[in-house]
This record gives sequence, C-alpha cells and structure tokens, in this order.
Amino acid sequence: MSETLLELRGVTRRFGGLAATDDVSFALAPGELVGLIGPNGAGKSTLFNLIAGALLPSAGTIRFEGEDVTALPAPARCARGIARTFQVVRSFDSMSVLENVVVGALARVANPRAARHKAHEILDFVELASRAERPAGELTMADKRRLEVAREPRLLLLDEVMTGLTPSEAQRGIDLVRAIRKRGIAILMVEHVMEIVMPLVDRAIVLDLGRVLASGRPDALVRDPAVIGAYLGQRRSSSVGHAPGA
Amino acid sequence: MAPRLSDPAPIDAISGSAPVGGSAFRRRRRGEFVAAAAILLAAAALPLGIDSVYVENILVLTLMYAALSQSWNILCGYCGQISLGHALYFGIGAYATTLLLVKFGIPPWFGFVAGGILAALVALALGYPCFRLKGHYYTIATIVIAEIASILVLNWPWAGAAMGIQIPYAQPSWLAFQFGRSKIPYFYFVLALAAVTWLATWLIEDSKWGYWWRAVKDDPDAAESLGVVVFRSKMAAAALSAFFTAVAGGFYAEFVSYIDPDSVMNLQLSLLMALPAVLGGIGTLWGPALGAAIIVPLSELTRSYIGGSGKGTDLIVYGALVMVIVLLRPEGLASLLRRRPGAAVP
Amino acid sequence: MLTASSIAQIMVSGLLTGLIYALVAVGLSLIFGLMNVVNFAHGEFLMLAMYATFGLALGLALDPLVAVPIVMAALFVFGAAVYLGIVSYAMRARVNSGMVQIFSTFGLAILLRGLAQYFLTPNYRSIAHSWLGSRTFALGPIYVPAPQLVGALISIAAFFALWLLITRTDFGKAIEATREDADAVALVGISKNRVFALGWGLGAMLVGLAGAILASFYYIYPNVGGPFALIAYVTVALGGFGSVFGALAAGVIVGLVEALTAVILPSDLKEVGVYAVYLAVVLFRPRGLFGSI
Repeated sequence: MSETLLELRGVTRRFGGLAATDDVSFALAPGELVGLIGPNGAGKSTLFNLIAGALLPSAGTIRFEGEDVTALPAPARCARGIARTFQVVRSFDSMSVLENVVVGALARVANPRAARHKAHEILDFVELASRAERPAGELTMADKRRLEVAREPRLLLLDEVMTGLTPSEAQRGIDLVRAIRKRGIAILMVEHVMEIVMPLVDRAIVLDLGRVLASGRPDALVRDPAVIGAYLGQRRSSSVGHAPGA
Repeated sequence: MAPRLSDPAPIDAISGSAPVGGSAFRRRRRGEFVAAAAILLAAAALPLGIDSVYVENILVLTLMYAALSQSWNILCGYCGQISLGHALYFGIGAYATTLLLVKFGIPPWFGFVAGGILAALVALALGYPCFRLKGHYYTIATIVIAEIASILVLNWPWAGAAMGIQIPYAQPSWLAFQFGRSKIPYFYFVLALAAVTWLATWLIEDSKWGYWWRAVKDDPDAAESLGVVVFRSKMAAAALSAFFTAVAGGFYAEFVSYIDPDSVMNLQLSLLMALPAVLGGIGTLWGPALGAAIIVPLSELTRSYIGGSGKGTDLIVYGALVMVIVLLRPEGLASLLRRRPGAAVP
Repeated sequence: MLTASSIAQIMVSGLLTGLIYALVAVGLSLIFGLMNVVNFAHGEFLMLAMYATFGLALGLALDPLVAVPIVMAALFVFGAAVYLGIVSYAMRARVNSGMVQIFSTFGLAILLRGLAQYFLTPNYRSIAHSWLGSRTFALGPIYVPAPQLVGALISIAAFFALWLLITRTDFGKAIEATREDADAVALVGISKNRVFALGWGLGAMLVGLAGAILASFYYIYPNVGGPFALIAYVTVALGGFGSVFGALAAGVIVGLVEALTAVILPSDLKEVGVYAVYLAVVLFRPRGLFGSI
C-alpha cells in the first residue's frame, strides 16, 4: 500500500479572475483523520468540491493512490474510493434506508445480492440496522447524516456534518467518525465547529483566502499567531473567539 | 480488511416486516413471480370462456396498454424522466412494421423487432440533447419532439402522409400475422408482450440498473456522488422503454390494419401510456397492469353508456382520474393492495 | 414570386403574429418564474378565453373588444382558483413531486378539453361579425388586417403595463421577493400563498387577453389550445423561463421564423422552423436568451 492516499500539488481553481483555491498542496496518508478549517470564504467548499470531482481544477494535479485523477469526474472518483457528503443532507427518499446504502455499495460490488449483504453490514456499523426497511425520508436529520456515511470508501470527505446536531447527537457523530477511522478509512472533514474538530483530528489544514495558511497538529495550530489572526480578522466568525488551548 | 458478514438483522419489531437481503426478500421476489405466473395462466385461459368479439377487443386493448404503460414506467416511473411524447416510439414501431411490409414485403415479425431497434436508436439520439434537461423542461421537450415527428409524417407522401397506410389482406397465418376475423391470436401475442414487459420490470427491480435509476429519479446529484453515471442510466432506460413501446406499436398496426399519424402518433396516445402507470402506481411493479385493467374497460363503459360527441367522455374520465390520483394518492392504487415489506411505501 | 414588398408583407405579418404569441406565452413564463411550476393547461386557458369571447359575442352580441375586460376578469378568477384548488395541493407532494406537478395541470388540460368537446362539440366556431373583423389598414404596399394590428398593439400595451406593475407597484415587488425566496417572505408579512394565487390569476388573465384577441380572427375548437401551447412552450424556452422581456423578444422571433418558414416550405410545415429553433436553443443554450436558470 502506498504511503500517500491523496496528494494535491499546486491545485488552483479560478472563477473569472478570482482564485478561490490558490496553489494548494498537501498529502493524506491512509487512515489519517484530517480537518480542513479556516474562516468564512477561505475556500474550503471549493477545495472540497475539487477533491470530490464536482469541480475540476484550473491548474495543478490531484493524485489518489498514486493515480492521477485530476481529470476524472465525480462518479469515476467514487468508483476509485472517494466518497463525499453534502452540506444539506441528501437521501433517496422514495427508497428504504437499506436500498439507499445498496446504491452506493453497487459502485464497489457488481451484483445486487452481494451489495445487499454489504449494505446490511454497513447499516449495522452505523447503527441504523433497525431502520433498514423504513423509507429514508422518515429519518431524523441526525440519522440521515449517519446514512450518508454508510459507505466503504478509502477516503471519506465530510462536509460540515456536525452542523445542526444536538450535543448528544454530535457526541454520537464523533464516535462514529472515530469508528470509521478505525476501519482504516481516511477522513477529510470540513468543519466550522472547532470544539468538535480540534480534539478529533490527527492534524488540520488551515485555509485562508484560498491558500494553505498552516498545517499541523491541532494543539500547535491554535497557538499559531497567523491562524489566530486569520480568524479574528473575520468580522463574522461562527465559533472561534475564545483563547487557545481550549 | 475483509468485511465481517453479520447475520441479517433480526425482524424489526416496530415495522413488523422482515429485512431486505435476507430470505424474506427472496421469498417476496419468488412470491411476485409466482403470482405473475398464476395471473398469466388465468389470463391465457380467458378466451376459452369468452365468446363476444367486443369483449375480446377490450381484452386485447387492455393488455396492449398494460404493456405500453409498463414500458413507459421503465423510463418514467423508475428513472423519473417524465415523457409525454412516447407516442413517438409507438408511431415509429407502427410505421416501421407497416412500411417494411407494404413496401418491401417483409413479414411483420421482423418489422416488430426492426421497429423496436429503430425506436431505441432514436431514443438514444434524442437523449443526447434532452437528458441535459431536468424535470419539466425534459417533459416539454418530449411533447415538442413528438409533435415534430407527427408533422413530418403528415407531410411525407412515401409514408402515406395524412391518408395513412392500409395493410392489405393476406391469408391468415402466424407468419403474415393476420388471422381472419378471430382476435384470439392477437390476444395471445399481446399477452406475451405484456408478460415480457412485466418480466423486464421484475428483473430490473433487483438489478444494478434498477437501484441506479431510482437514485437518479430521487436526486441525480447525490446519485452521481455515489458513483452512478447518470447520463448513461437515463439513456439505457430510454432505449429499453422505446424498444418495447415500438413493438407494441407494430402490433397495433397489424391489429387494426390501418395507420395514420392521427391514430398512432397523437398526444392522447402519449397520455394513455402514462395514465395506467400513474393510476396504478408509478414506479411500481404492478401499477401499470392494474391501471390498464381499470382504465380501458372503464373508458369503454363510459363511451357506451354516456356517449357524447367525439371523444369528449374519454378525455373527461382520463383527466379527472389523473388529477384525483396525483392529488389524493400519488403513489397510486397499488399501494392500497399491499404494504410491501421491501421497498418503501411510495 | 418574391418581391421586396411581399417579403415586407410577410415580415410585418410575422411580427404582428409574434407579438400575440408573446402575449400568449408571457403568462406561462410569469408563473414559472414565480414558483417553478409549468402550467401544462396553459393552452386550455387560452381555449376557454376564446370560447368565452365567442359565447359573449353569440349570446350578448358583445364585440370582442368590449368583451376583453370581462374575459380577462373571468380568467383571472379562474387562474387563481386553479392555483388554490389544484396547484397548491400539488406543490405539497413530497412523494414523486415532479410527477405530481406535471400531471396535476396536464390532467386538468385533458379534462378541460374533454369538457369542451362534450359540451361545446368539436365543431369549429368563429365570430362572424366584429367591429374590427374585416377591416384592413394599408401601410404603403402592405395590407394589415385590423384585428391582428390591434391585437399586436394591445399586446405591446399589455407588456408595458406588466412592466410597470412589476417594477413600480408593491404587488410587483412582492412578486419579485417571493420569486427570490418564497419561504422568507413570510418574515416580511407577505403571504406566499396569496402571491402565488394572484400570480396565477395574473398569468391566466394575460393569456385570457390573448384569447379574447385571437377569437376575433381565429377558429375556435376544443383542441385549439394544443398548437398554441406548443408555441408558448417554445417561446418561453427560447426567451428564458421566467423572463418577461424574454417572452416578448422570443414571441417576435417565433412569429418571424414561422412566417419566413412558410415561404420556404409548404405551409403545413411552417411550425417545423419554429421547432427547429427550439431544438437549437435546447442544444446550445438551455436557459434561453434571457433566462437565469
């Protein structure tokens, strides 16, 4: 197994004259749990979509497991093991919870019977097995988020999945993220809620104005003056504001 | 790291149903198949007890609309791309079969298949521009395209233009697909066609395409993020749907022996392909057949008893039915019959 | 034989027809822009307006021009009623919502056609005598029938009035606000339901105006809505769903294309040119000339 799961080199994405993502380079190892943070407008969503394949870069390369996937669209990246969630949680409401998982599983195994077995197992894992037959539209939002991560990729991209959860739901969410990571799945999570992400991740990448500002272990980042400055420079900031070392 | 296969989850006390994926699922699938086989056998025995040509005619039409609606359901019910221009494919089948026979002497059986393949190709060609459109934009495009085709055929002398084409009398035989005055052989053919379209739907329900199509119907972007190739999915559904619709069109041409654009390419036909599915349950296995079994006899009855000038009564019944169903019970009548333990209610 | 003046005649004719097509289409575009719903019964609204005008002419000896305000008012009420009684329910569907929206108005279209065929017979009707009926104006070498000319002028006036309504009145602002964010407007005291109902009324009223105009020089029959609905779809698609100005521009284009096509091809095929334009738009610019989708 190669040492690097995901590698970005010089990835840039321009919209008109504005570079929403500017010369971003970093790497992820298999099984790493990395946070992608930064103030509003830092370009987290754009970078997220570039990795997922919803957007294609204007420049730079993206390699996944050694293969150059820069030009591949989202379904092809998904077939290679990159999975993503959406900010507004989405599910296939006319299908049952189990069938929702089967859709994703079919990208990895060819026949429906194997996919259904796998789907059952995954539902057990995310603790939704008791709801397997219910229409997905009936789930609570927290359960829908669990459904969204009911997959087996090699890299899971989480887009602000902790938003809108109650503290107890958020705690279950954190446990689930840890459990996913224990299965060997690498995770890159975009998150606003600092209290959640900082204790959770191995390391974090801080974006500001489309560029990588800093990267490293959380306890080092919160002491980094540049990082603090980037956040405090924001007039509207949702969650950072108290002293570092929390 | 090899996944551990856990035992299928225990019977859910809350929903009271057995889980998909376990033996209960296979049992349900087998049950559906057995039920269909039983119905098929019962239907095959019907002509033995029926003497009236009028009733035979209704049966043939009912089965034809069941087959048509089942085909429509593949693209529009499962894959969610609502087409109101499917008469195009019906017309392609009718005209291909008729023209091949009348101009080149090719037996109808080849015509059916040729018409089907042609229709599938047309569906694929049209898919390129049209499947970029979403929701009602796509529906409008289907209406416009069907209208274009109708106008073109109306002005095409070689294809009979407005006068249409008459299929000349031939000695009754299965090869010539003519049977004198008896409707029974037509009945069996169209019963087989309806059975084939049902079987195709049944196979689809537990196939990769089936899951992908339903995902595309619900949320194409989310489907794409899960690895579904949306465009190719829509194309496959369209081609399959068009194929069967055209075969039915070819059959109809042989059944009535005369076609013209107004009878095989009009908007009402497109509606009639959709209506049974909408009534019975769009996107379900039994919906289209159930809907056809209700609508065709019903429209015959209203026409006989209420009468009226022109086709007014038919349209009133259809229009009112469609509105009542989609507003009050959009999942269709099939949902009244059974609570399927597998798929979700709608 | 094509001379300069006969080409001019064709262009003028196409322009006038196009202005009326624009009027037929703008109601559809308005409703769509407001709430993202296509009224598949739009052609039947037109048909009802035409029959109403015909009925008033026949029963009360009202000249179509005089009947216009009555028909407009009636269609306004009808449109609002269709929204409140049918579309508002359709929009609440959470299951198969796309299908429900399409079939709720499509079913209405079929029902209305059936009712017209049953109660009014499929016979073609026309208004025999109207004030404008047989007059023509001569502009140089070009002959312009009075009903078409007056109709086109009314259409222009209607667009102007619509523009004023949208940009200058509170109602117009309410429409814009609801279009931007239908759920948020409740926060500023605007009832989304009321705006939608009035929007449907307005859209129906506009197509009602077109119907009253068309009744004075067009045949009236139960399925007359069909061809006009197609032209309306094409016009709205070309102009851009939701764009009032787009409907005007596209209507004129469609009218001109249709007239010019009739020169080149047999007149039965004159719609082909229009549909070809539609397909080109779909292929190359799905959101139309001025649309924002």
